[in-house]
Amino acid sequence: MNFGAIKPHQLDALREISNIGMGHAATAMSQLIGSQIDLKVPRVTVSPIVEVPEIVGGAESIIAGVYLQLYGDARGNVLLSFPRASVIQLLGLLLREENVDKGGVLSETAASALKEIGNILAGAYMSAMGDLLSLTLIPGVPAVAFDMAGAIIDYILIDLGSVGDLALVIETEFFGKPEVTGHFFLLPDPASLEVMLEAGNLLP
Amino acid sequence: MNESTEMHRIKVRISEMKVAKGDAVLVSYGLGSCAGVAIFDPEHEVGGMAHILLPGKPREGDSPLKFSETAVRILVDEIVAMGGAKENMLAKVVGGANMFSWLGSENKKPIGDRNIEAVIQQLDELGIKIVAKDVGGTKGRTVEFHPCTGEIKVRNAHGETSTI
Repeated sequence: MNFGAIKPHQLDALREISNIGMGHAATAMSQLIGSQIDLKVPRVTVSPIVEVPEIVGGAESIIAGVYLQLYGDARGNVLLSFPRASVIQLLGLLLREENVDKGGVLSETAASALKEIGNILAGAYMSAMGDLLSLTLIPGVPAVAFDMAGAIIDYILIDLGSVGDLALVIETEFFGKPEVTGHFFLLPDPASLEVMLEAGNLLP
Repeated sequence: MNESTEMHRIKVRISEMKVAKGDAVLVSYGLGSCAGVAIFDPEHEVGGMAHILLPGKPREGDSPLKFSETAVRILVDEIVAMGGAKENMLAKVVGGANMFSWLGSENKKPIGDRNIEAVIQQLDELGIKIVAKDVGGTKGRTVEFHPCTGEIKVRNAHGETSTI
């Protein structure tokens, strides 16, 4: 399915599905760090791939990105991104470790903890979404990078870029106390979008 | 903010290409596994840069600037259109990082390496000499290209800079 052909009511439905999925993920994260995590209403946008780095906060901003592929009935890419300050705060809560950022490189424990956060959040999100749509959605093995947002994003756009010039970005911002903010992105493959819409009875 | 310098900084985003002369600076922010190709004609002081996402050539309906084969050719043509001469052209290649190390452990080569190889092959075919490279590794790069002199400043996420 061409992302350009998607209808407003389908975008609304994807937003709602994502809201429920992210709600589960936020609950999991609250339990993990032992403090409240709140969500903003998800945004669902169809953008030219050239504009995607701006959605993530600008190509040069430093983020910790946890990347997973989505397998099963629908395929796509998932990115969990935390601004630099947030990831230090978050890992401080989890690991009680002072030096998570060793001159711009994450320590091994820090990277491993982030992967685990990625697993938990993506797992909670996918299982909620899968239940809702009666689809089997399986998160792949997470990978972590601590770098410029643009550099992390361009890797994720490769799959999409090889089949078209548009990306469907489902984005949720979450925030908690102390200052932890982050973004959860789901970029389904064009063929999988159709599967998701069909599962939700959203195709004409 | 100094408006005159800001005005001359031209962004080159994913699957874009820009050509300029004079004191313009072409900038690609956060280049990861993408390849950045800068070509310049030092005699006519004109040059351009392409920010290429994928190796190979586009299928019907795809943007030609997204792919190495077509993007490099178009870049050369555009520089000629701005007054450059092909026989003077020199190239510099940047980018092609492997951002997520385990993802290269599959059988095929990491996409960053494949992008750089494809771009180098295309430049060879066109007979354009590559005078400098800053490629590979595991870190993203911000690239500032001065088309007039051919100088490139590379900056990574650690704030380390180098000039090629």
